[in-house]
Amino acid sequence: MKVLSKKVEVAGIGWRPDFRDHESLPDIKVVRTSFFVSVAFMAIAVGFVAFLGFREFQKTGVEESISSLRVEIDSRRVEHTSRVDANRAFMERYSRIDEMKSTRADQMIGSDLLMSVGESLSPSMVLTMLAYSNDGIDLEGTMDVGAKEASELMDRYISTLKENEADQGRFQNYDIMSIQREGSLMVFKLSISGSVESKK
Amino acid sequence: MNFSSIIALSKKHISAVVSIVVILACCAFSLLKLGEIDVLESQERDLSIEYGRVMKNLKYGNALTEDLASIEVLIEDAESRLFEVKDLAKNYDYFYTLEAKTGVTIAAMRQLSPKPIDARSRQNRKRRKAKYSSIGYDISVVGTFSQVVNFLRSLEGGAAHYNMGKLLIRQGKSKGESSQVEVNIGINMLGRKI
Repeated sequence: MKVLSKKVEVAGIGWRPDFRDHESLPDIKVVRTSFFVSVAFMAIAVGFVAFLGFREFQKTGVEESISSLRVEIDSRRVEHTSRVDANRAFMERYSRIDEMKSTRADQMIGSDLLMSVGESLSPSMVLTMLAYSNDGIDLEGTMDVGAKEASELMDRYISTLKENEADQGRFQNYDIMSIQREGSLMVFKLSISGSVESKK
Repeated sequence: MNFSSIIALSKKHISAVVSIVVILACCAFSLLKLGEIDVLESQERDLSIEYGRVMKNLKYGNALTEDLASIEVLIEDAESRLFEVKDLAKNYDYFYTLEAKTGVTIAAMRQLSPKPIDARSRQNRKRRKAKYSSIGYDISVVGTFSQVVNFLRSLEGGAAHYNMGKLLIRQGKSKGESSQVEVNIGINMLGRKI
């Protein structure tokens, strides 16, 4: 400290200092600015060191965690590989079963189609032809009724077919293609088409 | 300001100078280690994900060996019922057995040759991946309505894997066989891939 170390010139004959003349006043600072600057730098340095120390501590923790995870994984590696291989083999075999199932699934059951088409017929109707393909079902037959009743009978037949779900939910359009006289019988042609799936 | 004055100033503010040196050293150290902890953290994250996956696979894969054994039995049984494209006699025998069982008469039967695979078509790409092949048959059958229904039921519930593509039924043409029906069936049987 340099308190009162500066030589003070006493101006004139006055017995007390002139407070307006800063230069002539004695240095009475208890703590100098340089002290604050040093303290500030030291604080920053300590902060940096603490931060780096914390980061290093954190890094060590992460490294320990990594090595313990590696040990855990390595200790289970053989068992895991064998289970993954087993799973792959299982999935491969499952895909085979699935392929077999899909061959049988979602197909028209021919016997059920024949039965429901036959059961839906009125006593005066005879079916002469049935053709099924993925595009639809074509039916041909005869009706031993007059021309007047023929269309009513066909409508009833169509509604019975729908009730019996003869198409097994595959088609949506039931169209009478023709009803015409052949001798004493009425010959009809019916088409069931319009895949339900294609509409979806 | 010359060197000696810098030295003098440094001596005067020694703690500040030491602090600045420490700060600079810390900065250099930080720059050197820049990103290191991020890399380690990302490694840890990846490893913990892998660890989780391993544990999950081990947990859910407990019964896999038994499941695999049981599915092997299923596959063995299902594959024993597959058709062989080249084993024509055995394939035809399957249908003739059904004929004898149901009383229908097989008027004609033809095994269709497999269609060549066009790699460009999406359906054929699927066919390439398939484990089995589909063997087509055209079969003409004559019998009474109930015999024909029984024949179809035997096909549907039979041992071999079957899929019906088309079906055509007509009344028998002969006057004396008015109760007979003629059936033409287009079916696909699941077979071993060539």
